[in-house]
Amino acid sequence: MARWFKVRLGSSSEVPQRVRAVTAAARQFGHHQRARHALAAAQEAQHQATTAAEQHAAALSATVDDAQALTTRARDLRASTDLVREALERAKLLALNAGLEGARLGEPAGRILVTLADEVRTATARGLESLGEHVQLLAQVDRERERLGSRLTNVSQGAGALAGALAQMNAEHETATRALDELESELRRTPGADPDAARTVADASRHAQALLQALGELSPRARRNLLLDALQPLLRRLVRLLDTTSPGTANRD
Amino acid sequence: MTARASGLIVDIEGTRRFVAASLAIRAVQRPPVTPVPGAPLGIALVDGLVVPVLELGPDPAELLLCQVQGQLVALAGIRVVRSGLFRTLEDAVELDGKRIRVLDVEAELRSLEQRVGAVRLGEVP
Repeated sequence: MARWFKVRLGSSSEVPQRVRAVTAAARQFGHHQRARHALAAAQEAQHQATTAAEQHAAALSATVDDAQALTTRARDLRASTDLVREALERAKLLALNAGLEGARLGEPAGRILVTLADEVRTATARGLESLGEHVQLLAQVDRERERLGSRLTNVSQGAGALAGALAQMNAEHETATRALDELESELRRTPGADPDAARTVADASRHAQALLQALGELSPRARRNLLLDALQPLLRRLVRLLDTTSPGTANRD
Repeated sequence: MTARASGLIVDIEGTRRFVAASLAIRAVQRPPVTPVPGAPLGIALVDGLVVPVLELGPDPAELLLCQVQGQLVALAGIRVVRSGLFRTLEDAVELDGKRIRVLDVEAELRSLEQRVGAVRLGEVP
């Protein structure tokens, strides 16, 4: 039986090294798990960022539509302003011609016509002046609208860059996921690196080391028969258990 | 009693001139004016009549139809600013305390005739 242990477990001096190796594998697995959690959190954050970017793009699209509607309304307003100006110009000419006819009639017959024509001319002149101010305001609105359009273009470009960055992030995330999958496969192929198994094996190894140490201390003093009688039931079960273990696993050890 | 003259005050490139009601018929919005090659003259269709157009300035707003020596002519490049009766000051009228010289339309036409030779003017409607 002692020979069996020696063949399968090697010398007692190798046991601490194996325990350390298995413990290190378990630690690596822990790092891997933490990396996977971090990647999942990054994926969630990326998903939120993508959702926010989509909402941002939708809002931006609506704003662009509003700006275009504003352009159309400004065009309509300008057309209507042109109509008003034409009407006022006609009214002004009408007043001037009426004043001319009144003047031709002379005083006092044409005085009323001249006075009335002058009032109309003054009113139309005020109207044209006010219309000029409106046109200037419209031009100012046009300039502001153009600036708004320019800013919207910049924001659109920024949104495009953000979408590109998110797509890049998504690609990088997929790469990182694949790398972690490969790392996990590698770790699982490493002897005893399965996280739960690695921990259990590390515990069993430590206990086995303690057993070997105790037996080493007892062997010079205890009689062999007594020792075998005491340990045999336990050791037989242990040997049976180890014999049922996968041969591949034992060989890798 | 103060003498008053009836007519129009027009603006020609920032300078105001008086056109007597005996010459001025009425002001109209400027229709398309076809230039006559080699002359500061154009022709336009006004109320179905082809009228010679004399360009006095760059303002494209109006035409002032006038009757000169029994012939119809349109003054262009002007803007009519006032109409009515104005106080007479020898060869000028007064508007808002300012002296406004009379526009000698006949002299303008003579000047044009000297420059381009015989210019055939439209018939009086």
